[in-house]
Amino acid sequence: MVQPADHQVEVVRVVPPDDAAEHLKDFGLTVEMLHRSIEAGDNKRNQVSQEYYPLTYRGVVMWAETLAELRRQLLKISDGYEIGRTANYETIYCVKRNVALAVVAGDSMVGTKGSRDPRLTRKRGIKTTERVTRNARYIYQQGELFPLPKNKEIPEDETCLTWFLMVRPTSKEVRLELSWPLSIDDDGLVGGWQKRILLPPVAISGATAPVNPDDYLDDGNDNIVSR
Amino acid sequence: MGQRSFNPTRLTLARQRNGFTKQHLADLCGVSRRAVTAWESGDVDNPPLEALVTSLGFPLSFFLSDDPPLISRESIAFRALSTMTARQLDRILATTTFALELSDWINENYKTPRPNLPDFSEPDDLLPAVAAESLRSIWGLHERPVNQLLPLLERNGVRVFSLPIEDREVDAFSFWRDTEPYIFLNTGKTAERIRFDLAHELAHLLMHRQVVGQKSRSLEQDAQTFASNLLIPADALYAQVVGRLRLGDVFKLKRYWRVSAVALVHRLAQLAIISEWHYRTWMIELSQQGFRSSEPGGIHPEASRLFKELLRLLREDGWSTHRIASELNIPAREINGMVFGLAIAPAPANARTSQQPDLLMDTRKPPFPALSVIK
Repeated sequence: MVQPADHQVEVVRVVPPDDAAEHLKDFGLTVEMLHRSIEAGDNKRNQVSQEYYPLTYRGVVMWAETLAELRRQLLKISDGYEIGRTANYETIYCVKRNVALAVVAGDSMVGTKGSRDPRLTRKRGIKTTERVTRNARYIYQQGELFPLPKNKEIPEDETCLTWFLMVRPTSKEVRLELSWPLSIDDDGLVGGWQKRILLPPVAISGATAPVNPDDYLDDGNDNIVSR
Repeated sequence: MGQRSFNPTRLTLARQRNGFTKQHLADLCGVSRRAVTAWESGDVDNPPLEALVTSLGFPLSFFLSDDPPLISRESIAFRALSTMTARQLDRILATTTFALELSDWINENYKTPRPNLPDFSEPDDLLPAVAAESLRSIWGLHERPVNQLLPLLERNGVRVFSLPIEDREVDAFSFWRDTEPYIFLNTGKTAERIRFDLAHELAHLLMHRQVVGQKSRSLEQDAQTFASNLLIPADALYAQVVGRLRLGDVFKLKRYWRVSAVALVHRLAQLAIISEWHYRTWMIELSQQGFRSSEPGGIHPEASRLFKELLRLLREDGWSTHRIASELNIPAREINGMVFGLAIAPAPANARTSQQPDLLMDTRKPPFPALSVIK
């Protein structure tokens, strides 16, 4: 089960990229699996980044393709992960590990330990607020030794703690981290994090397809001048 | 062969080839301008041939030969005409005459590919992009880059000659003589620009056969569009660009398609693969990096396959440039000039010379150390 080490409310704990692999084991994840998910999202995003497409589409595609690949990766390992979409809140969750993973877009502080913590790039809706609030309740109740009741009427995916795979594409790379949100501010953005696992960035995909060496074959070798 | 007489047409041709005015020739020969006019009009049976030979640098036999095959300026798809004087134009037209004579000589002595170009002159509203796509299909190029355009044209019967170094006021021009298509190139430009010029002139040959000489902006634009579509086919580029391009990707793409960076950026913008803003920004960047006037890191010039093979056979058969020139009654320098840059290339940069080497000279002792035969 993924939870704070001492079951106490604690300051944000930031795991540097070099230590990420060890911490991801709690999720049954590897850095490679997350990178592969990001690459899938980035590749698709690039394909719809040309002028022909609506501007907002690329963000939607990146979110959807990253989540889809993350789901594929986790379903493949048969570790109890399932697709969650209660109330249209799209996750991949695992009851055994008490974790639901969602993909969100973050600001420029994603993936780095900077002067402040990252923020989400847009105001979240009521479902996100509920999820983050549940995270907070869990932490506080764990601290007071009151476990979160397992209400059978609550769908499984909603009973899990929600972690964000937070993504920030730049012109050169896609930065990412797997983080545990703790509170939503009045502005609808995440205001605090219980834990942040920083991950090595993913180099942005090439904008051109690979060259096939057989493409240069238009010349015949037969002579064109004779006596 | 009987006694041959002076041919005044040949005198005009030699004078024009030298770029001389009648007055200048008159001064060289120590006669009046009116005398030269009389010689060229055929009013004088026996002009001072020795003085003409000396002044014009053409052999005596040249002035005694039959009428040369002349190409009228109306039958040529010219560019840069507006910046040329009539004298410059005549000088270049004279070159075409010698090229035609050389071409005839080649046809008489060797077998070369017969013209095999589709006729896209009908319907007259055929879109150049459609024509280029059709040609790609006919020639089996489909969506691949055109590796070597010059040999490809030669293989399909197009005769490609070089403009002599001193006649490079024009980019390129083309014309049909009966069923034979001809292209003349300024080989002093970058390999990428030469390829584009070739594709441009090919457009005129294919599409504007009926309207050649009717110089208009729209015909030129059509030829540019054809060239762009032929060298950088849209569907292939659509498939190739899978993401948001950066300027660095342009260099990768331009090497793949073997075109200039500027031509590629223009094509990307035309297909809306990049935004107008990117187009402007990248053009400025390319200009600052020298890509407007040259092609840093560019491809090697294409070589004429026809001349390369022909030169080999000529050497085997004991022909020298002077012997061929003698057969054609023209100076050897004219022959060398017509293939300079096609079969014989100047090595880059500092070894530039205003003279052209002898294409059939013994290659074991190259006259100009920095000149090399294109492989």
